Amino acid sequence: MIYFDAAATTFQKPRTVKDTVRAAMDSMSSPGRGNYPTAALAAKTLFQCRMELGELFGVENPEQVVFTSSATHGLNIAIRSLVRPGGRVVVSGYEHNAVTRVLHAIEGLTIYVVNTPLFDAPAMVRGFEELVTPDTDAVICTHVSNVFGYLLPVEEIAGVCRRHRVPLILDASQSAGCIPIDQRTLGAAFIAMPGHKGLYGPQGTGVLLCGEEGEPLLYGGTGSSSQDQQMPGFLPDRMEAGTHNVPGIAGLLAGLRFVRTTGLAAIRHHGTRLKDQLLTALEGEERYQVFGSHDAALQTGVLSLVPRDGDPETLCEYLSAKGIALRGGLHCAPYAHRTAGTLDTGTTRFSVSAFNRPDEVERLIEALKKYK
Amino acid sequence: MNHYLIVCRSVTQAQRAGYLLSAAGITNRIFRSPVGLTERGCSYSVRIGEPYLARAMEILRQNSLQPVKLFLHRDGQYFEVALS
Repeated sequence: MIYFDAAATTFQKPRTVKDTVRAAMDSMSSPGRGNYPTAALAAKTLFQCRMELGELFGVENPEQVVFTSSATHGLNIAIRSLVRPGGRVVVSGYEHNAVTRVLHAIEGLTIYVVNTPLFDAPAMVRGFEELVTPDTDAVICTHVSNVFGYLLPVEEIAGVCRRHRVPLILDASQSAGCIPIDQRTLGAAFIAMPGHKGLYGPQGTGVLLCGEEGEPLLYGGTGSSSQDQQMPGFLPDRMEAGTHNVPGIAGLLAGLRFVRTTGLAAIRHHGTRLKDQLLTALEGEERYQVFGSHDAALQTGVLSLVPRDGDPETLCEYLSAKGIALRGGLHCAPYAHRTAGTLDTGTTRFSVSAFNRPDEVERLIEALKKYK
Repeated sequence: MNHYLIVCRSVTQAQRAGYLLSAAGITNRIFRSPVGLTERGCSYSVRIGEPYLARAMEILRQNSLQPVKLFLHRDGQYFEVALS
């Protein structure tokens, strides 16, 4: 199978990730529950992962690195920490349901959406400048659209937040492991990311970088301050009730090391090169509406297209029969489709990882050209 | 041999303390705090040799790492030391 659904999960992982997960299951128990060798090794592995995540993402203290089960889990913690019923938030028009469904579950909340065209970064910054006020509970913004690969101007948006002293929650689901992110420079209150996409860890892993202490979403044992019946008042324990996904985090550490060894710039360049290969090939094809930009500052290795005769899901079925995996539909991001005008159809999404090759893109291009 | 126990609030904080001290060349060991040394139950401590206390505390202070308690272990007993 040729796999082009890395925006959902990077299916091809470095060999070290699989080996490490297996080894962890043979050698690690639970951290923070004892100091016997299997617990100590688990604790050491988790701490090392926090350290290396902190180094990659500009986090001052590894205690600010919280392990979650997914980016969605982290976003729930972040939003529930900062956004109050009856409050006010400003979001981009490209948010995922991992953000918007959480917001819609908060009673009486007013959600302001910055609906600006694809690949128009100045318009988006102006939109945030117009809508963010000092009484805004939080700005929540995806770094890269999971549907269109649109790289949002988050540095400028973070600047707007700092000027108004409004906390920023960044959804780095599509950028972590591909685009440089520095928590301290952005001044973000929270940055949520999955472990299983651009960081090449296993499913069931995620990370929340905390610029603020926040409120727990889950309550339970932490292996610390056990006589207290309140959750600890310190990170990461405050946000990490229950047993950690130790094999998953061990795998995440191996994936993270793959990313750091390969280099963010190389991974990003590889992704945009493959995306440009497809974009260029389809530019003359009348049969497809393609949502792309050749400006590497505006789009990552994610590209959406819509067949003018037919629907994106049927196109994906056709490609699947040819051994090529792409995702069709709304990609859990109706806000993004509403903004881009594709809510009625959805799109067929192409997304790559470091393991895809130009000859695989060529196979996809051939299949798309033959599609009737 | 006399030594100090730096009691930390969590395993993560203890590991961070251990990491910072090791980086400064101070030999240390992380382990579960003995029962009775903390009022809240379940914590981790970092053990260091007696001569290294002042330097160790300075390193932790420089890194904004605030231990929960500090104990001197002498003649088989723990004596709490005030954290300045």
